[in-house]
Amino acid sequence: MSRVKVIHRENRLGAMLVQPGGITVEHALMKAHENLESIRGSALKAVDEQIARIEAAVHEAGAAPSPDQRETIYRLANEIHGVAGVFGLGQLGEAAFSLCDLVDHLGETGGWSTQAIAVHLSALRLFRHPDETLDGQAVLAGLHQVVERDGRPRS
Amino acid sequence: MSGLNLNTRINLEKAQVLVLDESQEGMGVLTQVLAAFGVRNAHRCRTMDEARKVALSRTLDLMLVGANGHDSTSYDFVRWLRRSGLEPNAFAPVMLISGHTLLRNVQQARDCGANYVIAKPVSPDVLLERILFVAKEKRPFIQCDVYFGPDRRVHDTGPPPGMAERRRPAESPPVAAA
Repeated sequence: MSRVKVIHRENRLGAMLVQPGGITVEHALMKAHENLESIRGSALKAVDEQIARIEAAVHEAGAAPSPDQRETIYRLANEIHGVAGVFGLGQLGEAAFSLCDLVDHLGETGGWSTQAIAVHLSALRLFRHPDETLDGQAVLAGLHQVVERDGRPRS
Repeated sequence: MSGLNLNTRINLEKAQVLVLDESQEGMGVLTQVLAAFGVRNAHRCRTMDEARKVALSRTLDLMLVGANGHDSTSYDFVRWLRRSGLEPNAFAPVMLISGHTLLRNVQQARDCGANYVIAKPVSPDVLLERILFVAKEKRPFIQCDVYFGPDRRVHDTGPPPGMAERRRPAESPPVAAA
């Protein structure tokens, strides 16, 4: 059996938070949404660049990507997922997450599927500029089926 | 905004907050939100080395650590911090901000010693709720061979109904693991 030590420490953050002054939660959240709006343009420009870089990496990788190429595609998709939903493009973020899932699974088996990757890239483009007729849920369900077809349950 | 009282006042003006995120956009989102919350001292770090230097040079009250999923840098930093012996930084609240996590990194993410994991995309409401939650935390830290971090046994429901507590109180460390 390993030795286990239980250590108690004061919660400094808690003591600091209740000091006089400060701002209300309402004000903090309102200001947060304002601040995020101020960086919307640059953030979405970065998302567009990341989509373009994924497309370039996929094209360069062909049917047999190297580990570095897989990592690049995964990392860029993960970045899109991390930011898109903050700016109202939740379905774009979910499609990017599905691409991460796909690349992760394919990496575990050492395989690759240019078709499955292509479907995801199309979805990224669709969700980046969705129109009113787009059935986003149906597209996402289709992406999940594509990932499952490779043998991995949807995460 | 479950759990948030809009009229509650929060004072983070003097809080020293470390933000570790290799993603420029991710860093931008977190620092904009923290600034709105009143944080004036956000220490931005793009690499684990930068984060270590900050942790070694100043007292920190909160850490937001972005996990990029494809490598273990973020988890390595939290593990290093918990075992660093730095007082009080080794015990500062750490939120792991996580996107997709590779299958092979899931266990590391879970066991690195962070207080909480917040899933991306991060909304200001969720982040603030979590900060307020962790600020009230009274969990002790557990140190053993394979883990150093907040006690993960958060639901102490006591003995079964009709039965008395049979354990002796833990009067002093060490406590042998079951």
